[in-house]
Amino acid sequence: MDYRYPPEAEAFRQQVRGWLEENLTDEVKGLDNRGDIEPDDLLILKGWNKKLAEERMVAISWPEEFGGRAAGVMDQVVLAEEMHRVGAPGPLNPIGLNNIAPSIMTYGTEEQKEQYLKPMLSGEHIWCQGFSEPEAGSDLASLRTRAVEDGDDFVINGQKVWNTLGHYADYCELLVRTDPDAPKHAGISCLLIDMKTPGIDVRPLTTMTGAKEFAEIFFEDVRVPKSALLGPLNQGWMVAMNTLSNERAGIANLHLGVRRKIAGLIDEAKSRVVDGKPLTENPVVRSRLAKAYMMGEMQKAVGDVSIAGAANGEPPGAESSIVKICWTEIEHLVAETSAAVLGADALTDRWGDNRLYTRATSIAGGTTQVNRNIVARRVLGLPKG
Amino acid sequence: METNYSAEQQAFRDSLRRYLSDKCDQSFIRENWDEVVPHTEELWGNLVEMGVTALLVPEQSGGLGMGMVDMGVVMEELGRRVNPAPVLASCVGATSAAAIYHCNDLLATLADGSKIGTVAFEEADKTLLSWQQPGVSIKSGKLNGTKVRVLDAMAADVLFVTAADGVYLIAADADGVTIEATEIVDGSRRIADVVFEDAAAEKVGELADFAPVIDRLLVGLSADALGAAEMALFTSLEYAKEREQFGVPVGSFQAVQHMLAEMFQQVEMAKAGLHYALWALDDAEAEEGHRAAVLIKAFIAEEFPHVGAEAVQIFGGAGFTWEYDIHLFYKRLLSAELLLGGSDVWLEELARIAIDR
Repeated sequence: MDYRYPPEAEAFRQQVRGWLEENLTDEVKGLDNRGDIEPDDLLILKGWNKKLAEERMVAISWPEEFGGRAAGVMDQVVLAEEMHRVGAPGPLNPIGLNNIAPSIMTYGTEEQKEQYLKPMLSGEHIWCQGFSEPEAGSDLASLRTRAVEDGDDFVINGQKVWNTLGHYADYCELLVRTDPDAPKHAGISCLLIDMKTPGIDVRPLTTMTGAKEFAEIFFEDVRVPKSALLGPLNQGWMVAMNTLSNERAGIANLHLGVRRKIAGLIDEAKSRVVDGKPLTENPVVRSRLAKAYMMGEMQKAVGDVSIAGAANGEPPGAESSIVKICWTEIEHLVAETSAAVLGADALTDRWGDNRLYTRATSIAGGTTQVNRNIVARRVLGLPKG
Repeated sequence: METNYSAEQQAFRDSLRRYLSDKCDQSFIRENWDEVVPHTEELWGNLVEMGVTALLVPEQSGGLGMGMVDMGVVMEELGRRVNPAPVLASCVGATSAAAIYHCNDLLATLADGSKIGTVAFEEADKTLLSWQQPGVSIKSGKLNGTKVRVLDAMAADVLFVTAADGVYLIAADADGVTIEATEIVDGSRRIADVVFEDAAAEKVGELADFAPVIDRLLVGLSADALGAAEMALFTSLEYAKEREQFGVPVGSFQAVQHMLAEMFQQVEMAKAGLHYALWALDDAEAEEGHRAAVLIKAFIAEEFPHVGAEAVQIFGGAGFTWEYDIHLFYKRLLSAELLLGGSDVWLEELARIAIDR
């Protein structure tokens, strides 16, 4: 066992730290790169994204020819740690960079790579995924949005939902059914489409927090050229589920984010005097904060197992399937802890928002229940009911 | 970065696992359950032969000079078989104390297994948060007072005792030492009250230097608990695959699957935290080693009783019987929860680390 980072990663840390000190301005610091971004903030974030891209600090795991550094896992983790340390927002396009780009790199034509990857990296083009539908959530492969071949075009009809950044997006990685007679995973194709194409109607979807974080996208006789196809026809499931991404910093971002929240809650508790005594002398408050702190640190430990495995070239193992479940539960715990510690003040401002926001963590990206099914069947080998 | 045991450590683990499942399976445990000294000379002799007693003894004192990561391998395996050998007390506790206080003659006998030692540092009216203010007094080289929950004191030849002005070494059969076993629900582990009445003892060093002994014990016990929890999970998982109701395995029911998936999640988290703590005790600063030790003990105390309880639940009525083994693991997890301080103690220590510093 050895939990130290390699010396090269520590050297990269110094380089990143120096660059951030020189380039991170107060205007940028602390802005949220997700969710409901104000138009003014979006401009600032785009400028920041461009600056990061020029320094090749957006998607360092990408090959150098596409603007990355071909960086290994530990460098990615170091970058994430340093960005979190100073409150530097990440790039605008996390879904594009982490989920869509690997498919384009693996299956795209030279034209597609040339056209899409660099503007995605710089933040010039925002991407969304068009996967889920009202009737295809956890059971994504039952999706029904159709694309019919017509001469040199596909004609698309249907509806998508839960499109993160959909209302800002310039492009979309869209899953459509191209062979309705094939078994459900086999008749799906993947298209890369321009969101300005006539017939596309984007409606922002307001979440329970009041934010416009997602969109619904409606397609009515939307005509795109056949060159929009990514990878082979009817093999879109394989194309979109491409897990060849070298990006692993997301694992670190989970614990970095939740531990920063816990530290923030502890600071907030320390600043309060209640009934004439510091709030942090209250044994109930101490116990609740200690438990949240403990779980945050355990999340780091679980994440480190995944990160070390990835750094050593091992395929994702059992632990990666539980990193997400653990994280969502800790997000829930921190939200509940904020209520126990701050009382009715936790109904306001950021802790109020956070209490609501964290409901999404156990739903988005695979519900906890679906993840438990996966663990039970694939890891524990339990029979299907 | 590497979070797993090395190839050598895994080979060591495999040989230990083979020995324990061949010679010390549950029927051995059941025969010795509730015995005052529940291990046998044969078991102890075999552990000596495999190097367990010499593991943490420095090389210059005739030991193997290895670290807590290696000892973690041993403790996980002993936990998997709810083994009663006094390894935590003697090979971790007393051996670490003997090394810290340079008790070289004793170290040689601990290394070759001819002596068994333990450490006495808990008192009835204190938690481990105030172990540095012991009530056991010392006057003209004689100890007076009572230590409680002393691991394997009945098997021990020598005891390290924390007292008002330092740490003392005393033979278990010395005049003025009375050892009274405490019966606990976990019959695979032995603890005792030790009463000192004008018992002449030798001072070996200062109290503050004793802190790493406690951190190592916390992590050693956590490793033992991880082994027991893994077996609770594994045993109930196998049962869920075999046991049929309504014409199908009960493990095909989603409610049961989610219980097992959640148990797996707790076990994996604990394994991650434990491995970090083992490494931190060997290779990080003492303060970080302490933090990691407290984290894993607090987590074990908070989460593992539930893992054991769910395992019993999956067995249904059979789980409540003496006949099925699952209760052995449950009991081992209950004692791991509460011995050396439960979550009340260690969450408060975490609060001091996270809030007050």
